[in-house]
Amino acid sequence: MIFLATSLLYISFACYAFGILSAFCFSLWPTRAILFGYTFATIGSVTGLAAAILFLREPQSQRLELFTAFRFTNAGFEILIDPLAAFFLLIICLGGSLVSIYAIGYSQDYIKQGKNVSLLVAGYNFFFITMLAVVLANNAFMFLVAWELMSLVSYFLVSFEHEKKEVRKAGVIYIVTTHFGTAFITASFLLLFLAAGQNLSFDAFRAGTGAGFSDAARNAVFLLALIGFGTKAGLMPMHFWLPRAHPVAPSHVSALMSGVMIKTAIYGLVRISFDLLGGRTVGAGTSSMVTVGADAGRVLPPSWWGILLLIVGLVSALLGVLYALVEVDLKKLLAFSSIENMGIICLGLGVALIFYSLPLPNAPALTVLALFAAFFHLLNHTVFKSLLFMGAGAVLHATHTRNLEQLGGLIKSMKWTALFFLAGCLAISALPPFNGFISEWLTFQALLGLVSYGPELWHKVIGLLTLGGLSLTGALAATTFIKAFGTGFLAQPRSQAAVHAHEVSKTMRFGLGLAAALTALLGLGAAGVLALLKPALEQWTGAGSSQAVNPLWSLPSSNLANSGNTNVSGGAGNLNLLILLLPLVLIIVGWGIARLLGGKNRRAIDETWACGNTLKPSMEYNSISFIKPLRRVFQFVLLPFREVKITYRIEPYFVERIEYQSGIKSLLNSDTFRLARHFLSYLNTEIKVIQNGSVRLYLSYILVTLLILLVFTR
Amino acid sequence: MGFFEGLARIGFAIIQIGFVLALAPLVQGFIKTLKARRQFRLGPALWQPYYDILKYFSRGEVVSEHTSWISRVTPYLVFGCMAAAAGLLPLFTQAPLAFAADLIFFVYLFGLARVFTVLAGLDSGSAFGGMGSSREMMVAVLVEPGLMLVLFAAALRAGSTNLSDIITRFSSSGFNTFTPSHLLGAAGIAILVVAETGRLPVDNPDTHLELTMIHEGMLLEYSGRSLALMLWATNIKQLLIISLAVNLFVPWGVTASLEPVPILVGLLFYLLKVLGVAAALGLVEMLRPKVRLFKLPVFMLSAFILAFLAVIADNVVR
Repeated sequence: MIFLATSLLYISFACYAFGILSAFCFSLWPTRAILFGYTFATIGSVTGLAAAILFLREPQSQRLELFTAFRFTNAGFEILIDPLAAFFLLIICLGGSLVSIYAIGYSQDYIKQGKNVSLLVAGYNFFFITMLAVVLANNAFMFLVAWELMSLVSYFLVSFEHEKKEVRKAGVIYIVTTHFGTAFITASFLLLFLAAGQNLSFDAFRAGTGAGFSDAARNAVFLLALIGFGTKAGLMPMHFWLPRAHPVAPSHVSALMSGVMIKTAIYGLVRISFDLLGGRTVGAGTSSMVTVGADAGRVLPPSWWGILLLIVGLVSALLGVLYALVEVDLKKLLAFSSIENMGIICLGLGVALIFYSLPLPNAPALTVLALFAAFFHLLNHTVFKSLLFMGAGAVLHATHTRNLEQLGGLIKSMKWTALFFLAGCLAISALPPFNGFISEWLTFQALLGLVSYGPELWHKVIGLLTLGGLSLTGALAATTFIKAFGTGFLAQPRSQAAVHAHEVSKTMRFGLGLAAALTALLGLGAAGVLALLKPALEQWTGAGSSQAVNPLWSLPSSNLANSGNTNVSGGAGNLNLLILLLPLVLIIVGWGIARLLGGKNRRAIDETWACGNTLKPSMEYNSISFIKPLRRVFQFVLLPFREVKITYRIEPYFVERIEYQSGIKSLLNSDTFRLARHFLSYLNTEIKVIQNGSVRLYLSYILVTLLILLVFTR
Repeated sequence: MGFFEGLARIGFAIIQIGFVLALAPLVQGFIKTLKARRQFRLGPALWQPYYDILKYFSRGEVVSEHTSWISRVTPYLVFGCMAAAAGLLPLFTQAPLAFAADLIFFVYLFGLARVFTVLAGLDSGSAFGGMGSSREMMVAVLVEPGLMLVLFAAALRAGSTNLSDIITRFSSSGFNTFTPSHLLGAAGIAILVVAETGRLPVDNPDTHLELTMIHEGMLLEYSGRSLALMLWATNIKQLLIISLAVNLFVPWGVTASLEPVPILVGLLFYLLKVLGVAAALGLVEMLRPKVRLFKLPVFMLSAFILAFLAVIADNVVR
């Protein structure tokens, strides 16, 4: 099995490499470059997905080493596939499987525009290799190299349509912000590097963070990692790059960035806080799986780490969804909603981290429950956010606009896209029977567990606030996506572009349909997902800590949260997945009753009542008017403004023109970063002195650097 | 669960859902009659909601050419969600389907129905539908945190989010159920019942005036059997919300046994409780004018704070 899985993983890497090669080979035949490049990406993703599933079914960690010739202070391209890495391998390859086929159809437009698509295809394939390398790396050197490559490749993909000023600007903001984050991650790793006796290997990190590691250093590592990875994850307040960069990328790249790339930040956070700072001694060459009990030889992290994550998550979720609510740009709306969902994932992680740091008898079970909530939501978000970005891409493809105010009525011209987009909207609004509901349910249960079992007053208060905040987030998210679907796809078209919209190509519909089917399947098959993720969830709490799972149709029942401590009451519930289908049964009953009482239905077609007028698209509620009441309710956050400028011909009776402008002000606008911006531009002007663009000068710089290094490292 | 037990449960579920479906219009009629009598009018007959629904079922429907399949599917889906919710709530004995789902699912079923109703409101393309939809979502956003927190307050006290477990535990502990937390939660949910059932002072169910309507605005384009299903579903929702509130906070009479006598007593208690709350809703509706839409946040915030205090009172300060 392991051999098969490892081979599949190699095949997957090879496919992505072939994808890059074929993109360049066919650079003169763009249609073929697209077809071959994305087909290789699809095959690579599907084989990688199979490998991930096999690795997850195998409880042993796998070590591989590639390119042994390239080593850097004892660190080469070492790969460790433990259940956590296998789970993220699954996420990346799942995203790839959903998006790659869609990309074939979506990229066709770029050929017509005369863009260099072979670069896009090559970058797309390389993007997968770098993301996979990030989650598989077993030393800080390889991790950082892969991380940096991932950022660079995604920067090039974001600025693919670089002839637009908006895109260039977004690209620069993205690359600067992401390097800001990388600096913090590097600092965090440097502290671990020192603790591990100047060894870059993650194994050494694990061994070095035991009892001898000071609390201050431990906290510093966590905080630096939180800032660094939080920046990449788009958590508030380091989120501002995300709603700029994600919308301007080609839609299939946006789908990957929102659905997959920002998840690698969660990977880094989990890897550092649960694994590297777990402080367990791992013997050389042995598996990193710890099968001993919860607290054996473990240094408990302080519980404020988890609380901090909860606060950051709650703020990101609430503010993210509020900004998504008022957004009229469909792709920007989705980007803001990514911030919200990363916040929800952080809520689960936060609760898991709190219980991981508490020596309670039922803490392992609750840790597993909360981790499951986080991981399942992560998986779900990958599916429905890819779906929604692909849907937005389809709309953009058909109408050439992302502005919701210009859309409308697409449900008639784009039947399938509308159906699949609706599935995504229902899933992301956490409505049953879709997958988002299950992870929301689990997050609620985890938070209820925190309120009832958290020993400190603060645990309970923060848990309660988060419960209220998560309910509010859920309702706001539902409103946001009702708005997106209702004003984008329903009623009458509000512009010529929307009138002339057409259904998208088969490959695009296939990708959308696959993702839409998966939103329903993951909801109904949540128990299977739990069984699959079990090794990843139990990795740090010991085997058997997720017992009491009904194998087929049930999710963790009350036994899970109560295990080890049956007397104390706590947040616990049950959800039989078959019940999700009950409304469907009763729909048929409703139809039957109507048929029984009223006989055969007689339907007359007429127009919508418009008080005797003819119904015009301008009479519709559009996306701004739909959320106007809520914008007013939340005006203390959204800071809406309205400017009316009236020019008179003869004051005050004869008006010549009225200019009307309305919008919201961001709490975190460019003024907030004015100081940083001034400092940066000052620094840049100073550095310009040594940059004159001559190759000879740069070569001499390299020589000088080399000489200095040789002197120091002699 | 054995085969026969499963069969018995299914039979019980059908009986309970049928009971709720049959009773729901009566509660609506009761409130209307009570209001009419209090206003010294004769008012419609007690059974008028039944006549209305039957009449709409037998009429043909007029469908707007501007609408899509969303509008066609919605009445059936909303009806299906409400009927499913009816099987999850303990009324006078254990809920037949509570073993399979908890209160979070119960609330989210209402959410699913609401989402489709709102989409249908937007689907017609008229300003009335959009207005109703927009306002409905605003009220929903304001209600949701308070409602969830009130329910979680009860769940945390009972140690389970399962509705049958919660209500059984509350009804078996007699007067000890009345803790400060319980009373605060009851006060909170009293506010939320008004909002969720779409009654004054939040929404006016008797009007089609564009300035005041919320729920009715979304249904304007419906006729025939679609309208019948939507109205019926609204009545069912009203009954379910009343039952939820009354059984959580006045849990007596809900029996766990399967003997005929306790069940009959439970049924009697249940009817009395529901009619009591219905009368209270009617009375409030007569005495209070509609609140301005933008005054609602304060109204709902008070429910949220009551719910918050309910959890604090029981779980934090102990």
